[in-house]
This record gives sequence, C-alpha cells and structure tokens, in this order.
Amino acid sequence: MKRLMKPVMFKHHHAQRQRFCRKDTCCKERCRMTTIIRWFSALLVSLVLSGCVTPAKHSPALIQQPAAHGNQPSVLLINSNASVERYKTAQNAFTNNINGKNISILNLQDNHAPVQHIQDALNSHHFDAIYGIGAKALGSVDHIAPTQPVVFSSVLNWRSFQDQKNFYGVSSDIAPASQLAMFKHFFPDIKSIAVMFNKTNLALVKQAIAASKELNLTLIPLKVESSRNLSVYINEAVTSADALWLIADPVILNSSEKVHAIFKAAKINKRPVFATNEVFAEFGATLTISADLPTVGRQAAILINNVIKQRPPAQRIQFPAGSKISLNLNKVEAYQLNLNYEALDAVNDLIE
Amino acid sequence: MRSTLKSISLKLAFTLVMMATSVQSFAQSPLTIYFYNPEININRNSILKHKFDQFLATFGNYQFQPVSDQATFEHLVRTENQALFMMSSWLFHSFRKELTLEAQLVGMKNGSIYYKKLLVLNKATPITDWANITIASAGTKKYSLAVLKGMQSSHKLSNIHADQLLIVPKDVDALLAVGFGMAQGALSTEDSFDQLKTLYQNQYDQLTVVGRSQVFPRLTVVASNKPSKHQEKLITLINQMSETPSGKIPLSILGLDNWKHIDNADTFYQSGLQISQGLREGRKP
Repeated sequence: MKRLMKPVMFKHHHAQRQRFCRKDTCCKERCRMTTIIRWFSALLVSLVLSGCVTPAKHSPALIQQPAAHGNQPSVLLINSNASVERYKTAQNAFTNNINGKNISILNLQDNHAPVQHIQDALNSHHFDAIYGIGAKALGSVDHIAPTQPVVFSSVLNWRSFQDQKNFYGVSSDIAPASQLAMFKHFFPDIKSIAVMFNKTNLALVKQAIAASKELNLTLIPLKVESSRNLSVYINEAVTSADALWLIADPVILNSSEKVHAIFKAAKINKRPVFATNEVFAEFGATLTISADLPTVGRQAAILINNVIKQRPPAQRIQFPAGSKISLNLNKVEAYQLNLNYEALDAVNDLIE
Repeated sequence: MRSTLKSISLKLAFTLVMMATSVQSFAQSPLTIYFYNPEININRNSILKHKFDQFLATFGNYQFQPVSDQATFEHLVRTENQALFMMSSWLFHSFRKELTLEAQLVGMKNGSIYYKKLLVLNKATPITDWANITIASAGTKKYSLAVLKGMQSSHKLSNIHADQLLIVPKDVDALLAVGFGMAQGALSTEDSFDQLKTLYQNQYDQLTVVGRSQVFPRLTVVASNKPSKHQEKLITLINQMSETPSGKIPLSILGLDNWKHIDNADTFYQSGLQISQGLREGRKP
C-alpha cells in the first residue's frame, strides 16, 4: 500500500510497548496478542482510508456539496485548513457564489499526505478546475502539476506560482496604488510617505513610486539590505516623511521586536503608520488596508467560472478587489491629523 | 366574608404588581431604529451599530439595530409599530402603500437628497459580449441587477445576470477594480465617481459612463404616519446629528452629511418607482 502512515505509527507504538514490558514476563503473551490485534486494526484502517473499500472514498476528507447535476462542471476545492477563519471565509464566499457547479471539498487540516490525497481525488473523479485556498493546498497541487486550470487565493508566497501557465489567482495584498489612494483619501494633508523594503519587494515599490506620482504624493523608498542596521532606516523613515507605510516585507518585519521598534519610533515622532494588514492595528497603526476575504472568495468564483468557460482573464493573477479598512481615531487625535470625514463611509473598523 | 375580602385584596395586589412590572419593562425597553440598506455592504453593520448607539446613549433609552437580510427587515417593518426604520427610499416605496408608515427624514450629501447610479467601463477594453463581462458593485446582487435593468443606456444591460456581478464592500473598490483589471465595469454612485476624479485623476480618466439610473431619494427614516412624542423626539435627534461630533461620525459612515425633514411624502416618492416595481415583480438575481 502507498500509505504507510498507520503502520509506521504502529511500529513506534509497538516499540514503546515492548520497552515498557521488558521486565514483566507475565504480560509478554498478552502484549503480543495486543500487538497482533493492533496490526490488524491498523491494516483495516489503512485499507479503508486508502480507498480499497470503495472508490468513492479514495480521499477520506473529500466532501461533495449537495449541488447541481451530473452534467454540470465539477470543481475540486482544496482548503489548507478549514478551521482557519480566513480560509473558511474564502471557502464560504466561494461556494455561495459558484452556481451550477458540482463542488467537492478536500480539507487538508492535519493531513500529512496532502499530495497523495489530492492525487487520489483527481484520479477518482473528473474535475474541470481546482480552487486552492492557502499555501499548503497550492503547494501540493503544484507538486502534482495537474492539467486542469488552478485558481488560488490566500497564498502569501503567490509569486512562486505566477509563472505556471494554468494557474490563476487572487494575490494577498491590495494594489499598492489603491492603498496610496486611500491614504490620500483619508488624510489629504499627508504629502510624503516613507517605505522600508528589501529587494524582494523591489517590484512592488517601483509600482508604488509610479502610482505616487499619479496621486501627487512623494514616496520615499528606503531599501534595507539587512535587518541588522534597521534602526538607522527606522529613524530616517519617521523623520523624513509625513507618514510611514509598512508593507509585508520579510526583512523589515522578521521579529516582533522590530515591529515594536518601528511603532515606538513612529509614536515618539508623532508619525502615523499605514499598514497592509489589520494585525498592525493592535501595534498602533493609524490606518490598515487589507483584503476583504469574502470578496476574495467571490473573485475566485468568477475566475473559476471564466476559466471553465475557456474565457481566461487578461491578468492571471489579480489584486483583491475588496478592501477592509481599520482606522485608529486615537492616533488621529494624538497626531492631530486632518481626517477627511467623507472617507468614513469606507471604514470597517474604528479603534477608539 | 373575610376570606372573600382576603382573596380580592390578594388578586388586587397581584394585579398591581403585574401592572407595575409591565410599566417598568415598557419604560426599560429602548426605542429601536432598525436599519437595512442593500446598497451598502453588510460587513460594516457592527461599526454602524457601535457609533449610533454611542451617539444615541447620551440622549436616552434608544438603540440602533442593523438587519442583514431583507425578509427579516420587512417582517419587522410590519410588526414593530413602536420602532423607527432607516432604509433605502426605494425599498420603502415598494411597500409604502400597504403600511401606516411614512417617510420622516431623508439623507443629504453635498446639499442633495437624491443620488444617481452609473455604470462605468474601462475605455481601453471595448465590450463585444455583454454576457461575459464582470461588473463590480457594492450593493446586493438583487439590488444591483434591478438598478442595471432600469438604467438608461444604449447597451443591452438586461442581459447581465447575477453570476457576472462581483460584490465588493464599497463604491471606491468597485471603481478601482475596473482600473486594475479585476472587473470590466463598475456600478457606482455619481458621488463616488466624482470623488474618484478628485482622488485619482488618472484612474478617473480611464473610465467612461455607459449607463445612468434615474434619480433616487437617499436613505430614509420611516416611522408611523402619526408618530408618538417618544418617536418624534428621536426623529428630531436624528435630524440634528450633523450638529454634534458624536453624530457626525455615524452620519459619515452612512455616506451622508445631513438629514432633511420630508414635508410632502407623495411628491417625494414620485422618484424611485421603476426600480421598486422591478423588485416587486420578484425578479430573481
């Protein structure tokens, strides 16, 4: 059998039991019997899980939605972990907006052989397209390299998959130009914004510089080679511009200490921090703009509909179309910022 | 004789206790404003409730209660006689004649109580097949389809179906989605489209208007056509929201900057008829 998980686990268990019983000769026979029973149980479980009992149960976690009809297109939805709220939200929005399709859902939560299970699912059913939520799902699908079109969302390292010809998706962060436009919308007096970045974000920052010119903003890019001398850049960022823009950068934000240091410096210099993730609201970001997760699921549903109808979009990887905005009114007051009240109709969360 | 008197006095005492309890509970139950607006995304309901409750708490026993689905809201409109309702004007128009309720206030923005919806497209992507484009909209699918079908346009917008709609949280998202290629069209208010011109001229210049709706009155506050003093007091408070900082914030979240008292409801409701009829005909999204 391909699946060795159960027997391997059992061997380990067996060794433990033998070590435990070494000095007790009376229990040797009983221990052997237990061992045999466990072997049989494990074998049975392994057979059932591997789908030898019925082809329909090839993948233990594969759930078919009570949907459409037999002749409707079929979609395999692979969720990296359905218990994670952001993945669950995208899944629900997707299933609520994909009409006339047969949806099968594979939850990879606690699944130690995701590639195997996805391959089993693809072998046992015909699917017209695959929707992968999260990095585990997309990474596993990428390993198989299926012929079907693949749509993905909620994958932070999506750039690793952007060259795959049959991959389509929704990236993680709102378009840099949209973010800058919203900063300007909320705070019309902010004219210059500093951004620290590493070479991994060079393309994003170049896009942002072009957009800032269109928006009559001055973007001050601070390229950081190493996080060791970050404090120098932090100091420059909070003194050279009206505000600091915190992007998802693996070098700048590689520890909570560094994040705290950035926010501490911003507070001392009374500079608002604009961030791309709502998690930074807790650290004291004045404004956060992140992707609206239900919209991401709805976008994925439209992408799936279009690729199934062989109408691929002009852009294979799209920015999230919906934004979720959090505004910290305490910071607005503390830094005496000129807030455009008209922009409040775009806010999702107000922190007071 | 004594036992009869004792029985009567016990019953009387019980009745008095019950009356006192019910009066007290009546006095304790807050006057509620139920809110439903399919033109905006429901994921901002919690912030609306928080800010409205904060504003109302300083004036008395009032509460704001957003409702996320139309059926529940319509049931409340028909059963909660003591409450106030804040809703789309066209939604109220659709069942106005069946009820003894009347519009009391209408929202204002930039001095106007009316708004218009536009369908905008990217100039660079000519539409050859209207059945295959994606349109971003901040309203519900049902509402968006009804607006599209009622639009004046040289294009056949009636062919657009629900699967083509990408529902986004707000108008600005819909407009930027066209600029960045996530959708080919956006359904937006004229206010938001004008706002984009100020905010992001380059994006604005890429867009062109291909459909216009009729004008609709903005968000409406509805109450009994003979409001009680308690209701009248609350209507006055709402009408004066723009005068206090704590009232200005929830008003801005609604996308308004003031309220206007409605003197003649019949004249006021001449607008919005077309879309209301469309919704009443039960067109499915």
